[in-house]
Amino acid sequence: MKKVELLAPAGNLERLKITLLYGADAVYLGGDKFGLRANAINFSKEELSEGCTFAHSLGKKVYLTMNIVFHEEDYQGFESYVKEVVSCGIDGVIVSDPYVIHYMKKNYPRIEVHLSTQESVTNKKEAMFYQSLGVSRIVLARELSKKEIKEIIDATGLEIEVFIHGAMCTCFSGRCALSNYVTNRDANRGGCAQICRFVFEREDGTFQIASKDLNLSKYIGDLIEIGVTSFKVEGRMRSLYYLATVIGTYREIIDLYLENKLTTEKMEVLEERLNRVANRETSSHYLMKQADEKDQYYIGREEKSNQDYLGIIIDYDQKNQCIVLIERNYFKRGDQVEIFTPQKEIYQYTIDKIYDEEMNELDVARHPEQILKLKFDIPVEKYSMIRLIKGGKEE
Amino acid sequence: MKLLGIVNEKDFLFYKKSSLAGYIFPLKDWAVDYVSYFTLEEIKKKKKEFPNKLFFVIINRMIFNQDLAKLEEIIQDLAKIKIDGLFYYDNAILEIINHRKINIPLYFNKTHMVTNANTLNFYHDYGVKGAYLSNEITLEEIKQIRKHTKIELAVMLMGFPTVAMSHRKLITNDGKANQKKIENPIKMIEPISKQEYLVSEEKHGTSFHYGKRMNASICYKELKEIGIDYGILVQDDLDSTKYLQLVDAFLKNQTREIDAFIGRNRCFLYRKTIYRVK
Repeated sequence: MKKVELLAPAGNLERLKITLLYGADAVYLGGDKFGLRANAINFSKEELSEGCTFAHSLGKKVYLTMNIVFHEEDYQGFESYVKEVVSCGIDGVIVSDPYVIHYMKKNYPRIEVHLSTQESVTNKKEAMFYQSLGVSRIVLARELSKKEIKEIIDATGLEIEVFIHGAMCTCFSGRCALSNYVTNRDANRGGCAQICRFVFEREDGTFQIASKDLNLSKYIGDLIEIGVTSFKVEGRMRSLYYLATVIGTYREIIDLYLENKLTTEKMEVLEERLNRVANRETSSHYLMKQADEKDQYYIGREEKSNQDYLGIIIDYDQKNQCIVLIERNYFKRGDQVEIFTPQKEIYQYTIDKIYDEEMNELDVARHPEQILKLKFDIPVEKYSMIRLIKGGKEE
Repeated sequence: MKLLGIVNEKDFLFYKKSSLAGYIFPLKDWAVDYVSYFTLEEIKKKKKEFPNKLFFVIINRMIFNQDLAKLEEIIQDLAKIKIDGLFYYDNAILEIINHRKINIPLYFNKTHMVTNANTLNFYHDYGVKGAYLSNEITLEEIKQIRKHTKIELAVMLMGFPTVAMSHRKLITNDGKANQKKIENPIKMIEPISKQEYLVSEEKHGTSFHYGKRMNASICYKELKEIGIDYGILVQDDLDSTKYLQLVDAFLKNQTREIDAFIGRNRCFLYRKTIYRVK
């Protein structure tokens, strides 16, 4: 069976490191131009170089998004920008414009060129067209079924990348300018204002078009069997905790499946873990059937806030035998928690002692971003995280 | 600049009276976003009746694997009737035409993605004859594109701009979720700006159109002077008599009269979109 890739979003350098440490084989990210998340923090040239060096040290890859729909003015500085990002060490670019494909193949033949889902490839002939231009991979439209994906793989032999988890568009990617008309923000140049999450009015009531999020965890085995190369998680702007949990969980699903050890019981545990970090309901959308009303969201723009994430571990204090963490959410003595590490170790325990940075004892942690210490006699590595299992009684 | 119509009317007299240089027919079962669709037979008949007019066809829906065999047949049929051009969305069509060496002039029509000259030059080199520019670009951008490409260019002069297309049955789904029967099409209102959108559901999904008709009459002369090859006038919900009067008004460059009848929505012609929010 061919090797499959777990591809993670990296909104910044810290997210890049976290996702790679938690099991992603590659990351995709935006630079300061030409990406479809114009309002995210994105990577400077220095950060991009550091990110590529970090990824390569782990034998992993970095793909840069340059998938906007270019207007005339956008080509200003394009060539020098490409030169710079290539020199930072990127392994591939994700693009949507055929001219950019042509440019990259002509000038940087060693850089992989992936066709973005922005082009919404939905059939094998169109895939063949882009194959003839030299793309090595296509990120397919999210509207395809398992059967259609397999037909494209069989017909082209191309690397095929499929979205497996995260937010979904209501419309075909690239075929939506709602944001342009409603807010004057250009969706195809990274300004999407997520208009499809609005609650609209109509003559006698409301009209909603929002989609549930995507979750294909149940079908990873099917997708591996039909020959999907890359499994893409959406969410460059998601929290570190979300990314660590989702990437770590999919890493386990893929590895257990490939080792033939993915039992029903184990899958239930992993799905539950994914569900706990989800802030919206999820569905498998088009993979097994035409998406219908059950794949949409009819409760307005309400999103669950997740308070399970208590902190990220930044060090271990050998002298005091304490983990050192940055607090993210309120916790207190008596809370039952779980520490999980990039190496997939999980430790469950009940918080006994909480200290501030100077080892003054505290009853509760109530200041997000505060550096705290917790008594714990096993040294755990940097970037491990703590999540709540069950809150203890208020004192 | 030649004026092309995307019309609803099928009656002989309408075509007889029309001053349009030609027509773009949305092909039944293969086009989306329009009010009326035409079968191959209807197009063939019209072509025979009006041999001096230009006849183009639109195939702009998303194509799936199961459609490909039939699509190839359709393309062969269109070649046989010698249409003047095929406005296409999906590059599967370009692949089929080049691979099978079919003789149909192609016009790139990827709705919101026809926005720069480099891309159009690339397609031109691939044998594509023309392009229908996106409605979301400015007049200045149109001028720049014209300056930097030799490909034939078409722009929409009048019509409700297409805003989005979903594969989902959004009206049916909303009705089922709320256990209500909802009309199709519906008028959808954005709650803050109160902008209206027309949402219509068809076999292939749901289309969104902006509720204000675009009217580029103000720059008709300029577009003509810079060498735009085709101006497109979409009938949409206009009465046929009024539509033909508007065609004549465009030809006579009667901006004031046109504005008075269809409003002054210039769309993005003088308004640049932004994408970085401070």
